[in-house]
Amino acid sequence: MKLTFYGVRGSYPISRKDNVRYGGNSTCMYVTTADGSEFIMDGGSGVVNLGYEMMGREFGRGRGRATILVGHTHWDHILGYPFFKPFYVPGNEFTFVSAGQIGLSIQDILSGQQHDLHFPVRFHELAATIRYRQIAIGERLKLNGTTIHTFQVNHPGITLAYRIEADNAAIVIITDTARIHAARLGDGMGGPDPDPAFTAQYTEELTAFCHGADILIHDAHFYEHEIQGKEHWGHATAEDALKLARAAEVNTLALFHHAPEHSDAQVEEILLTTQDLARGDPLQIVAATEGMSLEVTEEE
Amino acid sequence: MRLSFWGTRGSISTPGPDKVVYGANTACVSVHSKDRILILDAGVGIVQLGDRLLAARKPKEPLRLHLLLSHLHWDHLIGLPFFMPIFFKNIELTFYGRRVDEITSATERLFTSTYSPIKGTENLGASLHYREIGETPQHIDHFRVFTRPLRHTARCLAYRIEADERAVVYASDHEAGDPNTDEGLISLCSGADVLIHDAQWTPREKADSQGKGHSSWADAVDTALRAGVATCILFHHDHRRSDRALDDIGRRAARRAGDRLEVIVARDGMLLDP
Repeated sequence: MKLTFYGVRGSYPISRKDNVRYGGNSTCMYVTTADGSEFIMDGGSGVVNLGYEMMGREFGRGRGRATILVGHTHWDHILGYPFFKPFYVPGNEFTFVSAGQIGLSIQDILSGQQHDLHFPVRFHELAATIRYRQIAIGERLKLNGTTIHTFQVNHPGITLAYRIEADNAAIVIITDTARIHAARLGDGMGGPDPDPAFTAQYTEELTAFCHGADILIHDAHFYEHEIQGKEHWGHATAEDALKLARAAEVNTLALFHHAPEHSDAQVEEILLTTQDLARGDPLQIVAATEGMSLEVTEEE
Repeated sequence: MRLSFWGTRGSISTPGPDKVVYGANTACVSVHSKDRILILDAGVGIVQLGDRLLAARKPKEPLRLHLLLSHLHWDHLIGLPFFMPIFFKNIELTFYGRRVDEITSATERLFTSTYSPIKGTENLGASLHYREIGETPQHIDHFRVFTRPLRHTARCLAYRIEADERAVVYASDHEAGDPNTDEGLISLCSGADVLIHDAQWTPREKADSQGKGHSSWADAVDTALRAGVATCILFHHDHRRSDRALDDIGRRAARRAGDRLEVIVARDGMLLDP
């Protein structure tokens, strides 16, 4: 199984001279398995560049097939779809896997994005064949040789983490989440802290969900000093990511959802600080970088 | 009068190492006269403008901002959820555009819980106001503002802004080639100093992109020459165009313009004092 990052930035895509190394495109990842299955996680601006690459393969000839995993539907995770070229080629087939939002399906949400006022082509007029698999929160599904597990994490609205298992390996993707002690599912900002019993149970279940993963991709939006007073905004720090990675005994932690305000030097500082904290641990830590691929090879 | 270019791309921001010189942020330009400001469009570029405005503001100082929208495609709106002044009390933001009902529904969609953690415009600190703007000249703050329709895949306005005995015309999304609309734009440019014009395509690309609502850099230069403005700013660059390709466009456009017209390829962070 191989994962490539096309967008690693949270909140919005941003072009600055000092963020070129890690990249300024908003969230998108691409996963392929040994049996040739293709998965796209998120449609931030990174999906536009992924789309151009895919056009050079069977998707350019209308013979491509991929599954799109929807974590949640805030702008930074969907704003690239209208510019995803493989949607405009007849014959391509895509399946969106999504729990939607309260009262809305993923079709409703993407059609809203392509309302006449905002975009010249409507979502239902796209040339490719687009299917939808509405899932329940926590549902697990089998797609050919790949098993997909979902878990609701703490971010405003319905936000799912995905665990992708194939080729005897597992990748867990948690693009956006508040730190664990601020756990409050489905709401997020404001309000009192939840009771400790809920937090304990959530922590245990989340740790089990991530347990033994080869790769954990986790929100590391804030510095520790930045998160003060923003614990309920739905984002975490690299230390939160490290805590979960250790408890769940994963092999590789990729820090993700870099803040748009952070320069390359700041992302690097966060990475080095986290690596220092984990010195001696059997854990590899990287900062997600546009164009970076992580490969998990099957153990014989 | 001073012009600040915060975002100069069209369609979507796809930043990359080959787009560092010109930048990749979507459309936003601010027009300054003394301590007053008008904002044109709210693409991703508006985020940095917002940070600058807050840094210059004394704590709790009231601020009145005016945002003129050419139309409601996302590359002209998508920066607004991260335009920080919108979260502060004592700040008033007035939107101007073709129709109040459309602008209102667009801003509500931007902030609705489906797409945004803000969960509704009612949770913003700033007070929002909406005004229709037609072809009758209006005074906004101490600027005079005129409009004309453009030819695009959505109903789109060109703006002429006058202050300090200077005039600038902003024609972001426009497909040149319809004689009536082109005449309207040229009359809007009459006596203006600067024309900011859609230059999405090369002439060859334009030939394959009829009806998509954009112009080539050659259309922009030709319109500026016909209108007799002093400076033509090529704007709304294709989101994939590299720095090198934009340099090349700048050279070709300058050759086409000759001595009668200054041509500048817009880039994020550029300042211009007409």
